[in-house]
Amino acid sequence: MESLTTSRNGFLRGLLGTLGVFLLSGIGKAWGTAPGDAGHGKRPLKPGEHRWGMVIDLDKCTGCGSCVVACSTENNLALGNPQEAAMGRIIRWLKILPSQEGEFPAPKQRLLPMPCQQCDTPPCTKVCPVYATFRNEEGIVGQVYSRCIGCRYCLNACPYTCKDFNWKAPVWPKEMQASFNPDVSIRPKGVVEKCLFCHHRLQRAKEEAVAEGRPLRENDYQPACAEICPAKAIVFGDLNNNDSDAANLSKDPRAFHLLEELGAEPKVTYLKEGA
Amino acid sequence: MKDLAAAVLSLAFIGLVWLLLAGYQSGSKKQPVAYNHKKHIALGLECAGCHTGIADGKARGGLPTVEVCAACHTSDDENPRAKAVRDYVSANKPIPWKKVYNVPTHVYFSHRRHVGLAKLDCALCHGDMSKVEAPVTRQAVTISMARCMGCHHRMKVTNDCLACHK
Repeated sequence: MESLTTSRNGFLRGLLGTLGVFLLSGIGKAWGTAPGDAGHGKRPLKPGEHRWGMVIDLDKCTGCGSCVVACSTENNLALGNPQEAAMGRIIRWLKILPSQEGEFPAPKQRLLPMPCQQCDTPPCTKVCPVYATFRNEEGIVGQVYSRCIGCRYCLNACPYTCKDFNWKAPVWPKEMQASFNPDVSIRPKGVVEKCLFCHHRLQRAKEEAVAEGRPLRENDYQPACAEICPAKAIVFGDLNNNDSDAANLSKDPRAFHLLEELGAEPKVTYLKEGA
Repeated sequence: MKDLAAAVLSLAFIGLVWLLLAGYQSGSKKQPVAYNHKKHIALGLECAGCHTGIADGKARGGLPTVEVCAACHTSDDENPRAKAVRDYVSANKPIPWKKVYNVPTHVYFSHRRHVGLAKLDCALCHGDMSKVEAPVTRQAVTISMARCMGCHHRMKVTNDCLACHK
C-alpha cells in the first residue's frame, strides 16, 4: 500500500512538474513573441549564414585608444568641443570605459573598450516605433538614420549606453571636410546613431568576393577598430564558422559578456583580465 | 468689383509662381550640349563607352568627359549641329553636364554591383535611350525606394536595409 501511495505521489508530482514546464514554456513562448516584436527581435538565421561577432581580450588591450580614433575617422564622427563634453554629448561609437580599483599607493586602472554590443535579442530594436533600428539576417544591429525620428526610446532602452543622439548638426574643422568616408553618411541633427560593425566594409567585401567569383573569406571583412588594434586585442569574425578565431575565442574559459543577466545576448565577448 | 479684382490678382500671382517654378525646373536641367542618344547608339556606341565609370567598375556611371567626346569630335568634324561640343573640345573645357539621376546621400548605389556584376540592362532604370533624340532633362523612370525594393524582391536579392542605406 505504502509503495502504491509513493508511486501515486510520484506520478502526481511528475504530472504537476510536466504541467509546470509546459505552462512555463508557454509563457516563455508568449514572451518571445510579444506584440510589436514581429520582425524586430531574434530571427533564426538561415544555414550557412554569417553571424558576425567580436572578441576583446582585456589582457591584451593596452587602452591606447587607437580603436576609438580609427572608428571616429572611419565613421565620420565629429570631434566635439569642451562644452559638449561637459554636457556628456560627445558622440563616440566605441568608447574606452575606465574604472579604478584601490587607492594610492596601489591603484589599479581597468580599461574596457566598448563598441555596440550587437545583441542577438537587442532591447533597442524592440522599442523603435518606426523600424529605424533592427537586427539584420547577419546579426548586425542596424540603424537607418533617414528613418529615425529621434524619439530616443532606443537610447533609453540600451543597457550598454551604446547609442548616441545628435543634439545638433555635426561640425568639423575645414581641413577635415575633404576627408570624409563616402561610404558613411553624415548624420543630421535629431537622429540616433550607433556602431554598425562597419557594415559598409562588409558590403564592399561582398562586392569584391562576387567580382572575383569566390565566397566571402574570413579576413575580407574587418571593422576599423579590429584592423587598427596594435595589440591584436580585438578579434572579429563569423561566430557561425567554427574555424574562425572569433568563434573559438568566444568559447574561451575567460569569456564573459557585459550585463549577461539581462539576456540581451551580446555578440561582443570579453576575455577576462588577469585570469 | 473688389472681389473680382482680388480673384484676378490671386490668379495672376498663382500663374506667376507656376511660371517661375516651371522655368526653374526645366532651366536647372537644361543640358549644355543638345546630345542625341539615338544617333550615337545607332552609330554603334555602347553605353559604357561614354559613361566610363561603368566599364571601370566604379560605383558611379559618370557623365562623359570632354576627352571622350574629343575622340570623335575633332577639328575635322564639320557637322554644324556639333559646334557646341567642338567648342568645348577646342577649349579643352569640361562640359558642364547637368546630373539628372541623383541618389540621396543616405543611399549607397553602385553601378558596379548592378551593371558590372548583376549584368542588368541600363534601360531598366534609364529607359531605352536608343529611341531618345532630345537631350536628357528628366528621369525616364522615377527612381524610388519602392521601385528598388520591388526589383530586389523579384530578383530574390537582399532587401536588408543595411545593404543600401548608409
